[in-house]
Amino acid sequence: MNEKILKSGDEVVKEFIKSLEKDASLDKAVVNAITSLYSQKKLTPTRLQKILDTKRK
Amino acid sequence: MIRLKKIKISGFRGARYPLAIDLTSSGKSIAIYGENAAGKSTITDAVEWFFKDRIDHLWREDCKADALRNVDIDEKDVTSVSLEFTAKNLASEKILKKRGNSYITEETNKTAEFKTYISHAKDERLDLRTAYLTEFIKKRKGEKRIELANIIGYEAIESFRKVIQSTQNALENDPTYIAAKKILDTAQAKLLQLASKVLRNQEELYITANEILKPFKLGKTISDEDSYKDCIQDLKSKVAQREKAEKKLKLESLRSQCESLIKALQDADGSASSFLEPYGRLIESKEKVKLLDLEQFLSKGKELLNKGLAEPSKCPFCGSRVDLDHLREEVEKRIIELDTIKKEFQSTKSLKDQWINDLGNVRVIGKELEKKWVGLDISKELETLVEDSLAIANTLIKATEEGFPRYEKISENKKWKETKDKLVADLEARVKKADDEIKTLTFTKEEQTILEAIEKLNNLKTVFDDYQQNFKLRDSFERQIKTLDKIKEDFTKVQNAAFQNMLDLMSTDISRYYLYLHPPGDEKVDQIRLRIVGEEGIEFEYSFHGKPTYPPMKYLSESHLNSLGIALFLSSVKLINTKSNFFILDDIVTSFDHGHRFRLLRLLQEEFKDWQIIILTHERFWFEIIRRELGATGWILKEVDCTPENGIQIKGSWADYREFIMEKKSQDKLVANDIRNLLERLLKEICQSLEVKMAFRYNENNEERMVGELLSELRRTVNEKNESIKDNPIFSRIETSNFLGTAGSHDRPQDISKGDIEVALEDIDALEELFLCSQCNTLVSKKRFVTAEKKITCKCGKLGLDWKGAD
Repeated sequence: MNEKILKSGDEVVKEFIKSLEKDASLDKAVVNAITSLYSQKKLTPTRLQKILDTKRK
Repeated sequence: MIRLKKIKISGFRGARYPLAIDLTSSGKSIAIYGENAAGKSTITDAVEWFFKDRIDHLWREDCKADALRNVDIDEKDVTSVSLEFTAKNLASEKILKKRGNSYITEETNKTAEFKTYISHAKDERLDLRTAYLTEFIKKRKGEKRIELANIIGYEAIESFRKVIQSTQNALENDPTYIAAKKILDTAQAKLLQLASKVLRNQEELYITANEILKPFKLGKTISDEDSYKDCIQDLKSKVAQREKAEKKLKLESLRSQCESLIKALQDADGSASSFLEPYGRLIESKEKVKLLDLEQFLSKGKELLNKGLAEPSKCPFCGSRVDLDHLREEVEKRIIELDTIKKEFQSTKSLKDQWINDLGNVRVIGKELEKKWVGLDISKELETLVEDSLAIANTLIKATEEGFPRYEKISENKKWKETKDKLVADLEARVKKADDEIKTLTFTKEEQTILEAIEKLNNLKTVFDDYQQNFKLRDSFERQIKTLDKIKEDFTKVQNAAFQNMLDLMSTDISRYYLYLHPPGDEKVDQIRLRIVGEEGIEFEYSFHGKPTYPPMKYLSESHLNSLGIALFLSSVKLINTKSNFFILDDIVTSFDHGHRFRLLRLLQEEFKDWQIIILTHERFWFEIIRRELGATGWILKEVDCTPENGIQIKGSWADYREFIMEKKSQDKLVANDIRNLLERLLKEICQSLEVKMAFRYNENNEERMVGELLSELRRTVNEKNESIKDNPIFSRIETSNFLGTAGSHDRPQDISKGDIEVALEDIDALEELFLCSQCNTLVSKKRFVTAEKKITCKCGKLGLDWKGAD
């Protein structure tokens, strides 16, 4: 990877997730769940869905 | 950046005995020639295995560790690849060991620096083989995107996008969400019927309820849950026939609940058909079930690995020693391969969930019905039918939830079908009976008006509660779905910008390299670039006769596609390789015409002069071009040879060959044929040095001269030029050694003893000593003829032989 010019895929995702926190139009529970799972390297559809299920009840 | 200093391969693929390639301490580039099937790719395989712990072209065919061992080596012989680098601390030997029925690998370098380097280098672009030249170019645009993401390390981006998309799909198809929308529609219709408008909040409900109450002048209004109940009680107290009134209200409620249960049973019937048919078809195929089982097994294994529950370096599946990182990668790759079948299964999962949800509804409404009929005339048969239906629905839910993940056969059993049909019929009959019973209950006009108001208030409250509850649920789902959709949309922009940035960087190089190989003047192709196509794809775009077009296959010939493949590889090397300063080009010019081969060499010289390049080729002409173009720039040029006896070996000097024979001898291997070859090489070197005259022969025929001819011509020259050594007994002894070598290598290897071999080697050494200087290690040469002394000497001048004339 040409580090001077290109960001790694992980960096791109991390920066993007950080930018979500500033977007007031988004559901906070969804953003928090994504942030938490990605930081733990545990972001999968099943895990995300499970957290979102609890946030609706 | 790091270069290769030495490659040593042993007992690996085509290398039966140690194959050492010395690239010098500065890590020089090298071109290696070997005929087709001479085993050159053993070198590429070795480097790939060293870094990636796998060899793609073998692993794809399911040929794994056992295919790495040379087929001729003994059980006790070691399979290993050792690499030395310009960074000394990174040198390591990778050894393949057999343990039980499987193989394990071991690295001799255990340092953190080495591990860090390997983890970087395994993702770098270290080799390009003919077979893979156009593989990427010929992929579909979606596959190109995934492949490129892997090449440049953008898997995290692909994976994030996939998670968001999958979760959004899952929420959109969630049975609870679908049911909530359905209930909401029904409740909305009922509210319109009851209140002539949709009641959005409790205030609107209370306003409507108070309007219903208004004609009865209760002297109070509804403002909350409690006052709602109070007002209904007050209305009831206005009815003189209280018992009859209670019964009518109960019958109305029973009728409504019976109708709800009929509807729930019909819904469950519909969702059963939607699920059971495709699911049955899926599990009917044993092949598909096998793949689903495998996917599930791998997914569980992956979960275990991700949770860190596997013991270090131990395979959680079979217990053998493995590199867990590598295993995790392998498991993930296999799971991706099984993605299609998993998707097919998942589409039946949402149908299954819907059915389970509908059966659950039957249970909830059924239980509610049991409460509603208390104090009313209900037949024992209906009671039993409801009770049985709820029990069977419960059994079906359990059996389905248990059987579905195991791909077991699931069906509506006969008892359920019979009970359900009978229940629907009985419920319909009970609805009719309730209607009839209600008709028999007569009230005064005023009482009738009050009862209608109570029923309306009750219905209004029930439907409104249903509406509110499901409205919140639907709203909650939609907020999450909308958020995921926006995240996906925003991320697509970020992702495409990141991809395009990388593609632009690559495109500049790709275009330059390609146009170097195919200048735009004589071709009609120009302005090549990689660009994002739609949401899912990446494609090469190029200008053909001035018009932008894609894909490459549309107009480009095989040779042009090859050039594009090389241009892509070279651009990715420059972009991605940040640690390793070397790469291998394995036989990549096979379909190139000569003009383009020259251009490729010039391109490498100009654009990659700071890189260590290893070129392997089976084309003599191309090798000779490399020799002429790059020989003077410090490139090493070597040839490899492959014999059934010795496997792949670098063709080296007789000194290298002598070392090889000693190595073989130390392993108690037969070396008679090698003795003959060694003698042949030594005689060729001496004859060349003394300019011994031979009969003219063309090209490779010149190389094929045998010991007999070489020795005979050498003796003739020595007889003529130097009287003092012409009678040296070594010449006749060498003839005997040659006889030993020939006999031992052909028909009677068992007749040759170790002692014979040692004598033959001593004779060869003696012949060598006669012409080779022990100080400067060079042969006496006719080129160094000292006229005054009539002598020829070695380079340092210490060894000299009398020589009659320089002609």
